[in-house]
Amino acid sequence: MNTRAEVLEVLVRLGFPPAGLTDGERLTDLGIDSTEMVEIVVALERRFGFRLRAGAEEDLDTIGDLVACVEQQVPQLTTGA
Amino acid sequence: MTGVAITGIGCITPYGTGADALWAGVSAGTSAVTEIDRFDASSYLCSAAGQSPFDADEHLAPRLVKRTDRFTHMALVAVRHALTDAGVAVGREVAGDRTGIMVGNVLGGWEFAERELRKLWVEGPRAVSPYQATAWFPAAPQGNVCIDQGIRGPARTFVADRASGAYALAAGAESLLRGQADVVIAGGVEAPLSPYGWLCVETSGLMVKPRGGQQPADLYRPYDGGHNGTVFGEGAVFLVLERVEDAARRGARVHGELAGWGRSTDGYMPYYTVEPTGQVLGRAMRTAMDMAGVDPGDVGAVFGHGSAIPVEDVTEAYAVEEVFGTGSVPVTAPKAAFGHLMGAAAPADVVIALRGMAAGLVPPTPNVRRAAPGVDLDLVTGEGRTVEGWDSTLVVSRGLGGVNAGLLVRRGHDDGGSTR
Repeated sequence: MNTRAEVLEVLVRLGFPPAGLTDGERLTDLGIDSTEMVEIVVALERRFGFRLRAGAEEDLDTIGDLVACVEQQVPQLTTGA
Repeated sequence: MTGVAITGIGCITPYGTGADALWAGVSAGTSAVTEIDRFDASSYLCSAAGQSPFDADEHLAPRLVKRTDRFTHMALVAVRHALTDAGVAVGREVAGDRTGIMVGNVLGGWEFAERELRKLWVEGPRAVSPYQATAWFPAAPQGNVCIDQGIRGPARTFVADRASGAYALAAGAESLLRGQADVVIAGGVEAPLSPYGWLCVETSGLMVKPRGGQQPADLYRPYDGGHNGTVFGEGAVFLVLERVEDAARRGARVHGELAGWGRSTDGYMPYYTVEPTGQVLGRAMRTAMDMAGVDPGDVGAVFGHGSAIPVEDVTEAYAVEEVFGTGSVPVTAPKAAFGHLMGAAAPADVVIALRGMAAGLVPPTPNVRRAAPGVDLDLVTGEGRTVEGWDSTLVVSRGLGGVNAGLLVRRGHDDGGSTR
């Protein structure tokens, strides 16, 4: 499974219908507020084993940003290491 | 006119969803008390309860379900049903600013809370849902209902032990009569069926102490010589309240009226018992009747608190006797068939009373074999009792330490009976 699919799987487990989860979809348009953002970030941290710097989630605007964030935090996911 | 019209009913009870299911169960005397299968309750004092078959996932979006406790789920759906039954949509028939919500609740949302607190101790603070802070506390249903319905008027949650729902109904009616809102949704909710919630109920000292060989349906015995504590249940019951003239103006179907209410507090030590003569409780009952302009002889039935806790049963009987005279009014506690719903108990009794008056049938109190010493009441047992011209009911509700409430409910005259 690639990183993107795994990120989407985490979101679906948090109650998001798969249909709306495209890379360009803005998180605010999905109705995600700061509390739900904390839930999403922690779920991704636990799934992929990283710890995001406090406040870094404020720079994440879209689903694509979430995927890129995970890939940046866990480089071996993209390098295949 | 001092009362308010009841124009909508929404119910989730151990019988299922809707007032029809509740009425069918209690009028037939069918027990909805079963062994708890939600969690392993075998090591608790009582492992039987009134469990509702309600499944939140059938009614609510997953992102709403995940951030709220079961008591909020039940409240949200019961309120939706009550508004549908009333033919009221907030923002259409009534402005959000002119709509209020009053909720009675005792325990809060422990199913959610204890799951998250376990994560706190086992996995650390990062593992705890960020919704924990807002999911557990007793006002959570109130807030979520406001969001769900666009309610922006008066909103309050009452925590007054088992009388919480009665306090919410009285406050809802007062809010209307003071002109603070045009529609108020009032009622109560309780979801005690989680391992810690159930422990709270056990340590309250109110829970029944089963005797060997008793089946779940036999445990809850209000006013009976074998009374030994309460069997509790879960549910949500909400009513749509409007001023009588407003309901008439919009041509609403009126199920009945909340015509009077009275409250009193025992202020008695030790705090875990009640004032022993029943006089302070009697004052709440009399206040409700006086407000409605109803004499004792006009009351067709009393729906008792009926906790089956000996000191509460006996003092309640004293209070009824003092207000009505000995054996002069039929008394029933149909809640023994499905469990005491705590925050939702008094609203459930109001719904049963409305349906009973419409049908002319006082539903029975289950499990009364022989009245307890000191209980000299005209108890309705067996298959219930047909009553002609029954127009008014007194609902009695009490909480720990003698938090007392009486509600005078008047029947509706254009109630076709069918509610959700």
